Amino acid sequence: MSPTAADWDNELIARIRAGDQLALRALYGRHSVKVFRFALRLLRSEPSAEDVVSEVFADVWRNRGNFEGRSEASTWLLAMTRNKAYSILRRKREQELDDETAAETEDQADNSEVVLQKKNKGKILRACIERLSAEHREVIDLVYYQDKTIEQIALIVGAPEGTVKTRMFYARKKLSELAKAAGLDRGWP
Amino acid sequence: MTMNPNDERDEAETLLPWYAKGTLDAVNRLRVEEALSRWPELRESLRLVEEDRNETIALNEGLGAPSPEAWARIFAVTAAEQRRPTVSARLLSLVRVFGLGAEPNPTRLAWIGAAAAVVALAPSRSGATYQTATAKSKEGAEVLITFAPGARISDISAFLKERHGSIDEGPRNNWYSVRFGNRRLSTEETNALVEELRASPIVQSVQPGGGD
Repeated sequence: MSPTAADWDNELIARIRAGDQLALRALYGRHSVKVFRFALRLLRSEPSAEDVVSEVFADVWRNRGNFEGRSEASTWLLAMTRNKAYSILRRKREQELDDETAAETEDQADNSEVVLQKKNKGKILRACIERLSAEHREVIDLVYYQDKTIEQIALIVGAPEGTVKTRMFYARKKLSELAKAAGLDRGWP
Repeated sequence: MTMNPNDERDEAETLLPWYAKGTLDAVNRLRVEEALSRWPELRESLRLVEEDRNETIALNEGLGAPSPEAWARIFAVTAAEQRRPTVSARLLSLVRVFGLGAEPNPTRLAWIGAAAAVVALAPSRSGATYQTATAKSKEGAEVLITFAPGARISDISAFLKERHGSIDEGPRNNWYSVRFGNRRLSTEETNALVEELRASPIVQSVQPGGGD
């Protein structure tokens, strides 16, 4: 049986624990893009997202003796990324960002007749995904882009599995509401 | 225990995103498939979920990747760690780097702790990596410097060469410990040096070090 992605990661982690810098470089090569994009979606700032990437992999190196292999490396990396990103968000006063978001949504609604065309449907949806709160962006990304299971997301966000399912449901609901406000009524919920 | 039909339908609705991604376990996958057969309107929900999924992927795929600088900062951490032989040497180094002299008082020790915490948290964005001296000189004047974010390695090398400077330590949270000249300077001379360094466009911040 051929090795899985998780097997490769475990091999790399074992080598990192032994102090192998090349293994850290390989782990970085495998995961840095997804870590960066996850951080960027939460922080909406490339410099901050890049700082988080550096901090996460530097911590992998510094704390290499502590990884117990209870979760996949990608889940572990995303959990670290989330913690660092939320620390930055707290410092930036997330509420201010949300206020800006609400204002942008209203502007979009005013122009709904102009933008509502079938060819723009994807564009509208992507714009609405961008406007979700950090909590909703996070769960949407973890499910749809990072391919994480309910159990893995629960580990990453530090919440019960039931909360993860509920949060995802409300993220979808909010997304449909934003789309409707932008002139794209999908008839749900 | 059997769920009532409405609960069963609602539960299937909440599971649709993972079903659309193929990340459900076998039991829940079967549960969703049964619900889709039983309540055809769920198929419309599934179609919307698939739209959301496709646009989320498209959005993320358009975000690019971290620049080479991100890896350079990580490499600096691993390289710096491998240069540190012992914990006690690292602590002594911090005392030196933050200019606190050989006999730090309690206030100074607290400051060391804070500085050490900052160092542990984050390599900074200016982040270019430089080769530091393998054996520290005990001569010369020690100064702490952060270089301007846009400063190139070649600029910094020329800057140091011109002033007979060499990097003793760093970067640590953007700060480098740099030694200038080959003799200990008086306070006045050190202050004059600091003022001169401060005037350079490639220097962002500078402050006197603590000596040895």
